[in-house]
Amino acid sequence: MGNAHDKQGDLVQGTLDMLVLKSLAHGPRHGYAVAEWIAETSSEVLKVEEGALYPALHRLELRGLLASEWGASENNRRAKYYSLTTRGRTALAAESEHWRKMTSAIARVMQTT
Amino acid sequence: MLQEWLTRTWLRIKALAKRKQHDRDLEEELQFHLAKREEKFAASGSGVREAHYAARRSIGNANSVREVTREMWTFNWLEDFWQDLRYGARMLRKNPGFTATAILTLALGIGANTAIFSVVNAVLLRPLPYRDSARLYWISDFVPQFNGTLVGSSDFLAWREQNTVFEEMAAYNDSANNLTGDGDPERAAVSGITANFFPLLGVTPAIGRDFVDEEDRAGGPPVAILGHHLWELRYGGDPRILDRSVQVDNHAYRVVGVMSPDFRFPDNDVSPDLFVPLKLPAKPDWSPQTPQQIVSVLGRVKPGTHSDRVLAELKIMNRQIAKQYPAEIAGIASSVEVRLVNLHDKLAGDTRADLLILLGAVSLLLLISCANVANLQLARSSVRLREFSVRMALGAGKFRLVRQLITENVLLAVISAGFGLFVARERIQLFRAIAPPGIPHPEMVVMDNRVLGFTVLVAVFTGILFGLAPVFATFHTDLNQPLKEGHGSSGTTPARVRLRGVLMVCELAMALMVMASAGLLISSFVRLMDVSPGFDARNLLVAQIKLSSINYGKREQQIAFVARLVDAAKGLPGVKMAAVGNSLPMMVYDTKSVIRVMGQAQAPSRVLPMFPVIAASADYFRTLGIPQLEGRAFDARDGADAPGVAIINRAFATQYVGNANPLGQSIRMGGGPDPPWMQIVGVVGDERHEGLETDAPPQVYVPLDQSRLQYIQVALRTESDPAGVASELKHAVSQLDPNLPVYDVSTMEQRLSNSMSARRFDMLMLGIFAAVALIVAGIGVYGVVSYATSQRVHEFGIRVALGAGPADLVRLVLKHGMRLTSIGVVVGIVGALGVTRLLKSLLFEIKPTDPLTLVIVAALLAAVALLACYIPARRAMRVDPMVALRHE
Repeated sequence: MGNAHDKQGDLVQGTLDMLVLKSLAHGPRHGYAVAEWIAETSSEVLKVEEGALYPALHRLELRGLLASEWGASENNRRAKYYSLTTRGRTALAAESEHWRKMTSAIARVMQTT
Repeated sequence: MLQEWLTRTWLRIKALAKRKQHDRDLEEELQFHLAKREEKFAASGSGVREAHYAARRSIGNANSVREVTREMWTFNWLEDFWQDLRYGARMLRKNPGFTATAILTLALGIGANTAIFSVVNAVLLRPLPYRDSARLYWISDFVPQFNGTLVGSSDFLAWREQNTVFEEMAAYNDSANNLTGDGDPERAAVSGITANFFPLLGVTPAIGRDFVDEEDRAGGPPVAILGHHLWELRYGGDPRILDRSVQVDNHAYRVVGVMSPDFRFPDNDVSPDLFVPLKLPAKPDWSPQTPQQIVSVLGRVKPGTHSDRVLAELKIMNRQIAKQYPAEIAGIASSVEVRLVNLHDKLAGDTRADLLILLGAVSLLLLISCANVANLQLARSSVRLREFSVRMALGAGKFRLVRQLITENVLLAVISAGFGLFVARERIQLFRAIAPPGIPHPEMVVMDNRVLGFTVLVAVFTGILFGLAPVFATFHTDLNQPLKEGHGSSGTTPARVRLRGVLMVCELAMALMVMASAGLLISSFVRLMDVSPGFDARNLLVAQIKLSSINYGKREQQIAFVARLVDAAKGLPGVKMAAVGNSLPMMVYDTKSVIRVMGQAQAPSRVLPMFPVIAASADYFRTLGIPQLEGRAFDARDGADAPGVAIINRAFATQYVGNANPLGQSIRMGGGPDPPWMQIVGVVGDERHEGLETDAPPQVYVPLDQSRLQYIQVALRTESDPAGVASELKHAVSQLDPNLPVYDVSTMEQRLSNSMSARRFDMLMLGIFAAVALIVAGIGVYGVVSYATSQRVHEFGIRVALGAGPADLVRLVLKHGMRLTSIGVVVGIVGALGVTRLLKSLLFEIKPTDPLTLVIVAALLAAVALLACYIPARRAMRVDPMVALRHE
């Protein structure tokens, strides 16, 4: 998303995968919607590079965590919708749990003065 | 993990199958994203154009997104491989001359390998067509006096009774018998077998049943099982053959079964038309009055029993058995050595060494082909160096280029292997046509999956082997150089030139090794043809007859028949002389016996040598053309009741009678209590009875009328081509007795030729391989020299401009070629000296290091190399200095 200098917005791959999974937790979306949702929900702090997003989507699909289907978009264009598979849901739960533990651990470390 | 991998692979395969569709989907997905982004920019107030570019900027390098995403879905290596393959195919198509030469060369090499391997496969590798055949063994007693193996039936019975190592033991014998009734009399090979013989092998008759134990004992009913061949030929494959009776030596046997067509008898020397129960006694009995049947023995060892243990137990049993032998043969018994041979080895027999030699020769041939193609590739790769430089400059990795080269070469080799299979098929046909009797069942030599697998392996291996040469050369050169040089003679680095020279030297050396081997076999064969057999093989017709015991059991009957036979034969048109004996040259001996010379002390050694004894009719020596050296031949004086007489050959006279005049001395045969003495009345010349390769053994002849006869052999001396008399002889015999078949009718020259068929086979095979090696090496020399010449056109131009004549140029080119050739010949001679030692067993009266042979093949090879150099040299001669100088 152009903002290459904004270091805080860069996402490491594992995190991006988790966010993509999370974005699909409430139903299928196409790639653009995934990027928008992440940007909006994070108040534009996290910006997903398209150059990373689509490889990530395809990688997750290949790993069997996502399924894809062609459908009509809001303005009736053909769009590729991704959704979580059962394995995808399991992976999301595991990742979320892992993330929660990590952040609280990091928070505890950072709180010490 | 596995599940994930499976999903991934499955998705990829789907994507691969619909690759175009998949690419379009990805494109559409990205386009959709761009459109949405554009909408958003537009909505936030940018101009349409601005929004368009902003959207494109935001997605960064769209191509890289495509690439990265696409790659995820593909099997990279597979796609690359496919790409390499198509590229390779294109390169091969672009150079038809190179491709054709390479394919021809390789197809010859691979084809020869496939053909020989299919023989090796059939004879040495494929399991025998019996149940669990690895556990089958052939057991026999080697008797030094006979220099042969045999087993007495009582020994077999004792082994079977006492052993603890065999699951089962079975015995068989073989004889030639007269098959009568149903049409013309015919000779049939009959094998007596114990009832457990077929079960031991794990085979059953295709029609009817096997023998049962009640049929396999003395006094059991006469029954027979037909071989498939006889059943088809004589009985027209009649399905109602069961229970019919067949007449074997005038005894009726009831048919109970027919073997299947693919049954193979487990003995190369025996191919029975008919099987009957062997009917051995229930118990061993070594008493002198009980005659022992000679049998052959097969055994199936118990699972997990080592052959050493089996052999040890057989030795112990034999020691026990020897104690039971009658006193007269106790000496023989104690000298017997038991032999235990795995059935597979027994059947592969002597062919193993021959085949391994041929396999060695074709391997050399393949290496020559490889060196040749490697050389061609080297020549081409120097042209292609620019292509590689460009590709590397464009970012291809070294590894990728190596892979490209190897793929190309393996492709070339695999195509050649395809043609090679055709070559192999022709060779196999040829092989079946000239297969020597030593190689059992040539029809079994087929191209099965194992042979095909071998061919593919060879192809891939050779592809990599000769593919490595250009790889090596390519990466030994600075790949930036050609780019700097622009067009022109790129890549003739010294390393490359040296490598090509080395390959050419190797080729010549290996060709010389194959040629030297073939040369030695050819000179052996020529020498063998020159050997005088000791008799006159021209215009001689020979045939066999078996006097079946029922009509010819008495000696008078035998004598009367032989007299009438000789008279009838002499009366045939074109027949000058006729004789009968119980053995003729090039046939096995009928009788061997211990011989004692009167007045000589019996040798104290327990091992008495045995000598062949031949019963001969009056004109035997004259008919065969064996020279009478001293005394007289047999004649009318030597009737059945006349005093015993004998004739000896020169070998016997010199070795056993010594310096004394043999005439008038007496000898006697047999180890019995008091055999009659026979007076020596003549000495005849030696004849090579057992084949041209072995010296004539000491032989004794006795008058036909004073011998017991069963198998008799007829010899007719004819005025012209003897083959024409064959049918008349048959007719004459059927006039004498319609129930006596005449068989093995052939000319003596044919028999002589048959006795050399194994040798001829090896010679022909190696000769063909040597010829191919010579041609391929010639092509190789031509390739190297003509390439080198074309690289020197510029230099030649200058030389011509400076006043060099055509002859000087020719000399220059020839010098280059012949220097390499002479190195190759010298290396080859050294190699040949090492290799030809392996041929020793195949050579006849010639040393493996025979200098004349080496000189001749070296000269031949050098001549071909010279010719191959001369053609490019002629081209150099015509160099036009102006053209050559402009060439740059």
